[in-house]
Amino acid sequence: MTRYIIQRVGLIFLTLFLILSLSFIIIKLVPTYPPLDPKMDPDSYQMYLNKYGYNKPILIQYLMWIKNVGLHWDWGFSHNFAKNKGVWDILLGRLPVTMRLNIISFVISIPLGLFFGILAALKKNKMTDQIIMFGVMLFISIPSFVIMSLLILYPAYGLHWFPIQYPAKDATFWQMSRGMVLPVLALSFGPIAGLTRMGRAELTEVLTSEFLLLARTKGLSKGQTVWRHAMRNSLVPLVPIIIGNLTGIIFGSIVIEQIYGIPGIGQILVISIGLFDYNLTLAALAFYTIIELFTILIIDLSYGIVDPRIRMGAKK
Amino acid sequence: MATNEIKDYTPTPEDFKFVQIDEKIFDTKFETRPIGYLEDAFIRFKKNKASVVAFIILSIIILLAIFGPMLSKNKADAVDDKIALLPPRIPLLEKIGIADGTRVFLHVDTEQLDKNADYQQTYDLGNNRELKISGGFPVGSYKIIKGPYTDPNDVNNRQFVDIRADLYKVQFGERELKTLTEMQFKEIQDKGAVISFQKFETCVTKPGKGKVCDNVYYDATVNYLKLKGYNSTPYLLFGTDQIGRDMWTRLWTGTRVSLIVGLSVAIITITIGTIYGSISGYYGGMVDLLMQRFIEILTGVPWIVIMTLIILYMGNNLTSITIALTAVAWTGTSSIVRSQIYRYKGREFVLASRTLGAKDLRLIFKHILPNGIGPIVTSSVLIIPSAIFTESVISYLNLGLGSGVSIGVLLNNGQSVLTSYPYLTVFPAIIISLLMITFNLFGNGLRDALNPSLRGAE
Repeated sequence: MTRYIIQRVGLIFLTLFLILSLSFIIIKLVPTYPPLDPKMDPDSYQMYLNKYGYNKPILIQYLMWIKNVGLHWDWGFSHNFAKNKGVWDILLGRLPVTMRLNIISFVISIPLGLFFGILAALKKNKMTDQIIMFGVMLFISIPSFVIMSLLILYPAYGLHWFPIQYPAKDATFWQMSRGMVLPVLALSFGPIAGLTRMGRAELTEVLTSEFLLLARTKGLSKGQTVWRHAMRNSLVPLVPIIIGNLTGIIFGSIVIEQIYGIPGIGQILVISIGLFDYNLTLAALAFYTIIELFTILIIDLSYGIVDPRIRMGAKK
Repeated sequence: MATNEIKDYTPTPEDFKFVQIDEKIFDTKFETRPIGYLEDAFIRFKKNKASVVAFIILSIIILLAIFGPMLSKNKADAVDDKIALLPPRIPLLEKIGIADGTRVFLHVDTEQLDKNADYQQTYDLGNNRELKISGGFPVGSYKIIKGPYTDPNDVNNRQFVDIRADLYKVQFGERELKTLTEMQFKEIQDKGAVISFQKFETCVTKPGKGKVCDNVYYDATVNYLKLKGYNSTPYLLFGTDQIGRDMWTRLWTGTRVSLIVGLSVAIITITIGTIYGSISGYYGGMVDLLMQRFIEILTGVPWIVIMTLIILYMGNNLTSITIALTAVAWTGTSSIVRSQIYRYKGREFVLASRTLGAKDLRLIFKHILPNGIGPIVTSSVLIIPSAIFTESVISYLNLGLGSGVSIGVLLNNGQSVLTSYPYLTVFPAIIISLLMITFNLFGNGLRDALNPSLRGAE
């Protein structure tokens, strides 16, 4: 197991390195790569150019960039968004709101998804099941940004229940929390629907299996069999899906942040592309790459942890 | 009696020969009609009511995407800011007060009433998300809801009213067009739209040539309805956008573009995915290992990163977006193809064919793939909605189509004025949601029909 984890982490760093290198080179080759601000005073401008090697060939720049990032975790400065502010600091400053949004959505999607999934499986082919599955079909298909737009239109603008835009920085905690409701809703509908569908499928399969029949013949009540035996077994395959939802939510939140004006990392990605602030773009892309890679790692490891029968990395 | 006959019968040598000695023996033909795989699948598909309904809705959307723009005489890129932001006007619905082309204007200066809408309407994107009409509201185009009242904050002591105005009457009414060139004026005159006009010219008397007039221009009062070539007030079902483009045409053109993008992504993805997956799955071993590691690295890259980089590098046109979407989607198809190849390549019929001397290509495309076509087709159908969805997402990131229109571009366009002009967002949102739902239902139905063993697996 340990060996497997080390192998996987090594592979992840290799992948990360390849992706970031490719990103760096492609971004340097982008036709609209902007000249730096010539209004800086000449000395500091020259120092700046030399420090990051903007006047050198791309290959040299690439090596310097690796050195800066690898040794000092220095992602360079923002050019247009916030002049001369460290790119990584900008991202860190915006991390909390993004994380709050994503983690709340993630956390509320799990119990709700499981609840509806179990309910649908237990009432299979009855009215409840059909209503739930209809909802699942709708919310799995309708994109989160459409849901967000409709939420802004009706509960926020029509009924004034919620602000139509994320409150500004100096808002109170109460206002912030109210501003969080709609984006969290928009982001969690999809994962809830997905989890419901998978949960229903898994539980239905377990409910018809023979060991459950055995448990009933031993004299357990239906509730006991479902709770103690069926649930545990059906939850195992769901763990990777639940973790996988996290990346879905994080990528979905890029658009949601853009629509609702939430000052998070997703918004930074969009703004930096618009402003040709490519150092910032690169760092934001790196952020998303790191998140995705580590989620994949956790998913792979989770197979072995939640179900010891699966021996990770074993020879076939 | 019968026993006697047999008794009397003496066999001849002819009786000991085969009856069919010179004939070929055939199986008897089935009384019933044979049912092939596809036909069988079709029968199963028809039983799934939801999928059939989805398929019908989908067909209607596709037909509208093809023919919808032709039904309107407005081009998708015909800009006219004089008719900007017209609300939807739909027959039947307008009778009950929905989508009747009217809009409420608060705090209108009474000076503005009973005047022609001289200039285009402007819209304000600030906090006061309100539509403003410079010029005025012609006679009969409005109803006063409240007022006239005075505003204590107004130093000029003007009178204000709240009105509900029929924007179709306002914007298609009489308008004054200023400084038209001769050519523009002739064009308008030919349409019979000119009500009155004034001609301006600068004339200079030059020696020898007499009076020479140049710098001719016209100020004209025109009937805007006739100028746009309508005989009666038009029904613009989805209204017009911020610069006066007809949303009906734009929406269906956009749907068409989105569908084309989805379809081409699906086709390219299937081609690449099938080739890659076949090679990887069929040859196995070291080839498979290396190819799968490559895929593993690729799937580790978030799609948002791949797409951003490709579009930044190649520009935001149709080709680059298609390439970007393909780059994200093909790994999925290739792994499905690979698993199908693995499933069938060891079967006896493949061995039989190989024994008879069939080459690899023939084995893959003639024997293995046709057997495993079900999941491949299903996943390909589902590529289309996911491509449409992803295209919309990148439009929100301002990386969508630069010129041209797709559903994503429309959604992004409507986003900035969402609360003031919901119809600019709502109609594209409905279409994209319908597309997603119907494609998913259709794909599920197709999956159940093509491989019944997977029925209800999700």
